Amino acid sequence: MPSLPLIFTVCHINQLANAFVLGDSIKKHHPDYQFFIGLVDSKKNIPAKINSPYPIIDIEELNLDGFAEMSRKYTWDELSADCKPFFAQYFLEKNKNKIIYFDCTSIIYQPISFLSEILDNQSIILVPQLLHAGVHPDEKQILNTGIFHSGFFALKHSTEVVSFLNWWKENTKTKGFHDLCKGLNADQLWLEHVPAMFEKVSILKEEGINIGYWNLSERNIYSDENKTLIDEKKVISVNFKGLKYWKSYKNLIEQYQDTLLKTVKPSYGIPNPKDKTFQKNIAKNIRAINYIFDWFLDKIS
Amino acid sequence: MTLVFTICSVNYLAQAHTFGDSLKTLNPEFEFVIGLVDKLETKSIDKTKLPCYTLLEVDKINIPDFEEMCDRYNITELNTAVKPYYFDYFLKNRPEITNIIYFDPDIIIFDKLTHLQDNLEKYNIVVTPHITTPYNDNLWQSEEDLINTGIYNFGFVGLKRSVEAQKMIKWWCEKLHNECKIDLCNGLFVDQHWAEFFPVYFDKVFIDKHLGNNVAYWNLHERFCSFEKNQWLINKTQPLQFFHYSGYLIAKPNEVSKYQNRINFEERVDIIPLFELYKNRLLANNELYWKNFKCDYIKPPKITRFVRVRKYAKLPLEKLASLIESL
Repeated sequence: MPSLPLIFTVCHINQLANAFVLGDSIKKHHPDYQFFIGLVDSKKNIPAKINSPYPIIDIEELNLDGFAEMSRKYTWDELSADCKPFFAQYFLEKNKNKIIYFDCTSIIYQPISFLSEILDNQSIILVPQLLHAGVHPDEKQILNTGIFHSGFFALKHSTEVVSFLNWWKENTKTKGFHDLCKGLNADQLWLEHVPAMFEKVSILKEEGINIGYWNLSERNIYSDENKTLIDEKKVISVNFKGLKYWKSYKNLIEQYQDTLLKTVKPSYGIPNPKDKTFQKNIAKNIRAINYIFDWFLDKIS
Repeated sequence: MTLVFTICSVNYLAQAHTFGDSLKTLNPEFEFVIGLVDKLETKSIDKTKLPCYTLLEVDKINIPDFEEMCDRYNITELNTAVKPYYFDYFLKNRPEITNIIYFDPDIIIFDKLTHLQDNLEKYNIVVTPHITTPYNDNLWQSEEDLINTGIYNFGFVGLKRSVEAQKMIKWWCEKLHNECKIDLCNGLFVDQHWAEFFPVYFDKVFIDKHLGNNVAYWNLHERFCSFEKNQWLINKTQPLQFFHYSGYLIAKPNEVSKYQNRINFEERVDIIPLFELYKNRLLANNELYWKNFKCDYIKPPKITRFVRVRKYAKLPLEKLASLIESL
C-alpha cells in the first residue's frame, strides 16, 4: 500500500510557534499523516525550554552544495523561501509518494484528503493567488508578484517532479532574489513557467485553500467584526502571512511561547531590509508637489 | 466559419500581406482581415500595391473613448491595446464566425491548421508558451525576462465563440483600456502579461505545447528545423505550423532578432532557409515601399523647455524627499 502524504513546512526558529500550530491543525484532521518542519536555522539554537511536538530537519542535515553562498547573498525572507525546493526534494525522497507544503503561517480547517486524490492523476498541484477576473482592486500587483502563490503546493514522486525540483532549486539557488523589476520574487515567480514546462500540472481552482490577504477581496470569509468565519465548511486553509493576526490565532501561537521564539535571530542569511513603505509614501507626496513647477512651466512655454 | 486577423500600421503592410498569402495558400477557407492602426485616406498610396485583403481601420470598430487611449499610449502600446477590441468587434458583428484567431503580422503559416481547429473544438481559448523546456544558460532573453513580460506569446491567440471567451475578452478590454503599458517594475507589459491570468481566471484554456507552433528565437534552443519531403519539420517529428520572425529586420539580415543574443545563423544553419524565404517574400510584397509610411497615431515628441529652471526649482523638495526615504 502506498504511504500517506507527508506534510511539511519551512521556517526559521522565530516562526516555530506558527509551525507547531500548523502541525496541530493537521494532526487534528489527519492524525495518520506525517508532519515535518524544515528549519532554515541550526537546531542547536532552539531555546532549551522549547520542546518540539514535531520532528525538525535542519538545513545542515541537507548538506547543500552552495548553501554558504546562498546564506551570504540572500535576506532571511529570501533564504527561507529559496530553501523550499531543497526541502521538498528531501521529503519526497523520504516519503516517495506524495508531499504537501504549507507556509508555516497556515492553519487547516478541514480534512485535505482530496489533494491526495488529485495527485493520483497529477504530478504537481499549484494554487493561484486569484481566481476571479476583475475583482481584486489592483490586479497588476498580482501579475508582478506571481499568478501562483508558493505558500502552498503538492507533489507526487515522479520523474516529472524530479526534473521540476531540479530546475526550481537551481533557480532559487542562483536567482532567488526579490527584485520585481527583473522578474524575480524569491521562489514564487518561477512557478509561472510550470504549466508550460511540465506535464500533469493541476491548477487548483478552489476558493477554500490558501486564503490570505492577497485574495480576501474576492473571498468573503468573515461574518462579522470579530472575524468569525462565515462558513467554516468552505474554508480549507487560511494563510496568515502578512495578515494582521486574528486574536484566536495569536492565542494559539502564544501557547508555544511565540514571544520567546520571535526573539531568536536567524543564523543564516542577511537581515531583511527595513520596510520603507511609510517613508516612500511621504517622499512620493512631496515629489507630487514638485509637479506644480512642471505644470506652470508647461503653461507659459 | 473561422476568421483570422492581424494588426499593424501601414508601414508593416508587407508583413501582413506575406502572412495573409501564407495563410490563404494552405487554408483558403479562412477569412482574413488586416486590422489597421493607421489611416489610409491621409496618405498618398499606390493602390496597386495594396494587398487584396480586407483592411479594417481601427477608428471603424467603435472602441469606446479611443481618443483617450491614443493620448495615453505610445505606438507599441496602442497597437497591442486594440487586440481584444478587434476580437470584441468580430464577436459582436460577425455572428456566423465561430473561431477567431489572431496572429502577429511577422508570422508565416507553414501548414494546414487542422491541429489548431481541433483544439478549438475542445477548448475555449488556445495560447502558446514561449518555451516548454528550460534554457540552462545565462543568455538573453532569460527565464526571468519571460516571467516579467509573459509566459505565453501573444503573437498568437485563438478563441472559440463561447460565454467564457466573451468573459475573457470583456475583462481583457477593461485592463488594456488603462493599463496596456510597458512598466516592468509594476508588473505591466502591454497586452501579453495580462494574459498570464487566462488559465487561472477562465475555463478550458489550452496551453498548446505543439512544437510546431509559434517557433521563434525564444524557443529555437529546443526546436531544430529541417525540410524533408516538401515539408518543414521540428525536431524531425512535428510539422512546422507557424514561424514567428519577431525582431528580424531586413536591414540587418545577419541578425535573427534584435531582442536576443542566444540564437545566431552561424550555429543555426538549419534556420537560414526559413529566413531567406521570409526576406524574399517581404521584398516581393514591397517591404521597401511600405516601411517608410508614417503612422497617423504616432504622437509628436514632447518638447520640454526650461529644463534647468525645472531642476533647480524642484531641488529643495527633492532633497527633502530623499532625506525622508533614507531614514
